[in-house]
Amino acid sequence: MSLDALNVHLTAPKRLAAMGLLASAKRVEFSYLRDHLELGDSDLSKQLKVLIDAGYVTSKRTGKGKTRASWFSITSEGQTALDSHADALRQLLSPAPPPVSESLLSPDAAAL
Amino acid sequence: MDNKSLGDFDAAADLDLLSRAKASVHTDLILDFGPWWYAALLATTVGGLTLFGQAMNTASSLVFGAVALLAGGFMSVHDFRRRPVKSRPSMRGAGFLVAMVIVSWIVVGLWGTAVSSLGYERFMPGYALLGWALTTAFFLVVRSGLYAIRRRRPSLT
Repeated sequence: MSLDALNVHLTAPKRLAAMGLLASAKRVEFSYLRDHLELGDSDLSKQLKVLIDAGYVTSKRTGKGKTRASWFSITSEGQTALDSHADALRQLLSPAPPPVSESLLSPDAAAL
Repeated sequence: MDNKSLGDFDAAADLDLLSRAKASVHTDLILDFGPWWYAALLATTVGGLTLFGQAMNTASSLVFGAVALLAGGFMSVHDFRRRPVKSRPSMRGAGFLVAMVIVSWIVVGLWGTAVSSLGYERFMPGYALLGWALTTAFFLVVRSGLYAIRRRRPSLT
């Protein structure tokens, strides 16, 4: 069975989990992602950059000084990619269809 | 991906991870000591405080309960602004909000009923204080339990 249907950007568990968090919220702040994914700042930044470069996530900075924050949102393209990836995962788990038994074929077809 | 075989890829684990990540945001919003808890707690507190007022009745208690819920609404706006995650409107969230409003009104109604049934001439401040403390303690115990559940959740990654 091929894995081609899977999205190469979302096969990394860290990015997949980040997309899952982002898909359930309108906007998520950097610290929330960092704490929930239990990643370091630089590691999370790298993972988010991949998703931003792919067009799956957008970022926005707000505030100044102590109130400064970086917010991330999933794009519609990212949501579509995540849904497709999840469908591909489910298909990998679904059992392959059983081969058609000869007894189920019509007598004419069986004679052939 | 072309060279990757099914042997080194766990689709079930990835689906589980995705499912837990999605649920995590909703769970956090509910378990967090956020606006819906404030509203219920305030309703309980104000409902209890009406017992110590004079000439209070069920209607007055409900009015005070409404004030408490309004205050809870203001607190929820404040809470929403400081939260590191902005939630999407969802049926689950709406259901929880409705449930907490109903619980708040029931609590306020129970206090109002208690006031009416006691009668002011037979009013016992000691019992009222005890009832208020027990109701508030109940809410706090539930919140503490939920907080403990939240802390025990397994890591996403």
